Amino acid sequence: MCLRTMIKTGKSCSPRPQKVFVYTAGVFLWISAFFILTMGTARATDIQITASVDQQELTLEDSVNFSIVVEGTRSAPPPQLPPLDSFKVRPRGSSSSFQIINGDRSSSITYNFSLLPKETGTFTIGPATVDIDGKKYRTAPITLIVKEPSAVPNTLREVFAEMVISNKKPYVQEQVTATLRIYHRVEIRNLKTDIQFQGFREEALKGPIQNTRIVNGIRYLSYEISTALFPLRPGKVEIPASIIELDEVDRTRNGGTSDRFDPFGQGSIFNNFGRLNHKTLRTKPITLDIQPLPQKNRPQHFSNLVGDFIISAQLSRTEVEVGDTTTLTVTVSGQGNVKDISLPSPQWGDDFKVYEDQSEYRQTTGARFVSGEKVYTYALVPLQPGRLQAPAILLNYFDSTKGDYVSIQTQALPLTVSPGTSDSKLKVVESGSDATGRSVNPVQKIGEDILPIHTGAEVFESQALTTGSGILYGIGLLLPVGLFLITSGIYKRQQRLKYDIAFSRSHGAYQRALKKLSALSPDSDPRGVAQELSLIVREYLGNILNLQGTAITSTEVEEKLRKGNFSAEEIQETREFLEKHETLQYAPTAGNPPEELIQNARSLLDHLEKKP
Amino acid sequence: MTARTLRFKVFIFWVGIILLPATIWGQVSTKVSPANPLYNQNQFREAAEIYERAIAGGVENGHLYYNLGNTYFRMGSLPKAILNYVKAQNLLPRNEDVEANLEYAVRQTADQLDGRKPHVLESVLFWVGDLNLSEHRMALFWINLAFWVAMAVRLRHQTPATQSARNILLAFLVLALVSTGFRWHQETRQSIGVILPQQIDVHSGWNATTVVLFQLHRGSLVSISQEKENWYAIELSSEKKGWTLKSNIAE
Repeated sequence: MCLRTMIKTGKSCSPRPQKVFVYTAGVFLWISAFFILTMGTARATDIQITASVDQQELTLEDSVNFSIVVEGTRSAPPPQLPPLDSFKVRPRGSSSSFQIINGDRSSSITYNFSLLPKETGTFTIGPATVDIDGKKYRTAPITLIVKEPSAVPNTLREVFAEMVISNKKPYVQEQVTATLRIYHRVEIRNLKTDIQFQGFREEALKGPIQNTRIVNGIRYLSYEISTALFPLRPGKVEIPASIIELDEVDRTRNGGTSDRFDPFGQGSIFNNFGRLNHKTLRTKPITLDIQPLPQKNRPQHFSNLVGDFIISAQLSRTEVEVGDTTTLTVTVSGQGNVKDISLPSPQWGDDFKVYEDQSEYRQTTGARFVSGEKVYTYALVPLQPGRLQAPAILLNYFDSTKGDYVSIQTQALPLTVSPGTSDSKLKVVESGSDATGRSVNPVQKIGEDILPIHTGAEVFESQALTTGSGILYGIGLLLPVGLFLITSGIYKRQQRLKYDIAFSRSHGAYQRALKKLSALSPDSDPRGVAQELSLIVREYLGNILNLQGTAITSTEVEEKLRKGNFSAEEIQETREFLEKHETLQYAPTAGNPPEELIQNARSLLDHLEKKP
Repeated sequence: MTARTLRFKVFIFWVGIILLPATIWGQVSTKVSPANPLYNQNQFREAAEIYERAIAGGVENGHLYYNLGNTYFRMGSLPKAILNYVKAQNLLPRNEDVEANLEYAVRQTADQLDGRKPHVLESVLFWVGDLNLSEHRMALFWINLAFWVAMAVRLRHQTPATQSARNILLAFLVLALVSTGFRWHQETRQSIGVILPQQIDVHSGWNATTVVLFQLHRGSLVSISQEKENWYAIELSSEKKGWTLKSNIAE
């Protein structure tokens, strides 16, 4: 309607708000009613729970879809699965449905799991339970038969995997390359691997890489993950079966054509459709016989370095003065367990003072080997002039291809040292040098242990905050605040008394008036007493109302009292008192006795001061 | 009650307050002292019992936890040793012995994992970890006292110097309050646990049927972030999170 109006008139329009509100509310009510009714129906319906699998016979390479359907509700909690020790369980999500067929409503929720068998045999999947409104519902048990993968040779299969070990009889610390190869002739997706190496130090090699390999005349794509392993101890070590999970794309079921050598669907976008078959592949366990490093010819300084290495050294300056510094850089590089490169402490002699820097390590990981280099730097400060030599640096390692130890060393590097131009006899004592500047062997750590217990009785004071000490602490925190507030109050009052004249006058006016009343003698002349009383009350009123002088009339007093929030009764009483006493001062005869006059005055003051 | 009796009672109260720590110290020392010779005689089980009894009796002392950690280490119970070193470190944050032994004990575990997750605030309040809660409370007490004294002085002497002193002390007081509160939160709300079994699976949810995310080994230190039925959510400093049974963790 609004659109029509716009077209006709060419003006913008807006729907009437009331109508929109009614319409929206109506729709909302209908939707709410629909949900309430359907939910009520679902609750009222009998709940049934069933479990099913998509296949009851499978091999170790397959997975089975295990579904638990709860009918009669769409909001059941997740089911409690029975013990499934022989399977790996993968939750696959849940789905709910609601149907109305011929007026009958039905709803259900389905929980899906993938079961991946770990071993062969016949297994009974016990009842799964669902707890709905305190009542437990159970599924019927299901039997599954898990067999070995079919006896088809690998070469006739679409997908298979193998673990290839470069050397099954390596020495301790010799690099072994373990390559997991996944051969496939169909597209694979969602690849997951579980590879375990125990008894080795591992270094991931470059990759994964994809190759084309011919196996028994059949062309396969090969997905290869390589790991460099360094055996830690001699003896038999088993590399357990690696588990590879993947989805095999089966295009034939959808009638699509596929290029077998377009495994990741990089061709036509239509090739991305197809059914996914989940597969679990296992490699065969492989046992390695790790050889110990021979004792024969084992050099004195050997740090379990195994592989193939070279060593080089150079000086930053070959001509220096006494006290100057030249840097000796020693580089060890090669293939093998490069992380374990360790140089024996060079024999520096008495010619140099040496400062060793932190070594630098750089590793290069290739597709098949781990290589790298370690760079040691030493700052050499010659202590005497002449033709000196930076000593040769020795490195021992085990060459696994030769099966023997190899010793290599750098050349001793000549260094010409001239006498210093200044008196720069260095006598700096550093760790690793004695007081004479000669280098000494650094202290080497031989063992490690925990430090001893603490025994001093004084250290065993409880650090806990008990209830009592907690209260005291709280008081301690609040006390300064309280003291400050009190001090601040007193100080402010003092300041006000000092600077606020009105406050100062009114403060103590009552006491001063009482004092004066007490000083009056009842035996005095009543007229004199009346005069005194009039003066005392006027003075009191002048103080509390901050009026100047005492020559104020009763009318003025009345006016001021009215502004000062005094009640009509008080004002009346004050006025009468003042008028009466003015009269009495000049009366020819004495009226009331002086005691009564004094008492009246006290009573008036009490009244004005709001004293009980 | 006469004024004299009242004065006497007040005197006794303050004497009690002053002597209370000494009395507690005496009791603690007596409770613990037989354990140390037992430890030195390699009677670790007996020593551990005495230390544990003192702790159960309400004694909260870093040196006591440290000694108990050493005792468990000697008994071969690495998780309990690590746990007690952690408690000792809370109370003695600057003690090098505790730090060295904790580090050494962690190095003996398979994972060598100290999964205590540093709080974001720790990078701002960098000093918080260097003081224990008791020291934080003491600092707060003195700064609070100094601040109110400065306020009182400023009543009579309103000079720029007293204003600066008051502002500086106020800033310190706020920092001390935040630090103490944060440290208190760390000690009472943040829970640290140690893995007890040789190896455990850490799941994606509080159910054994959920996916195993990773595995941890005996002695690994983890932060406990959540609790659900008989499961704990644990976090590692490397942002790994997961669930494991409470029975797998000692707190």
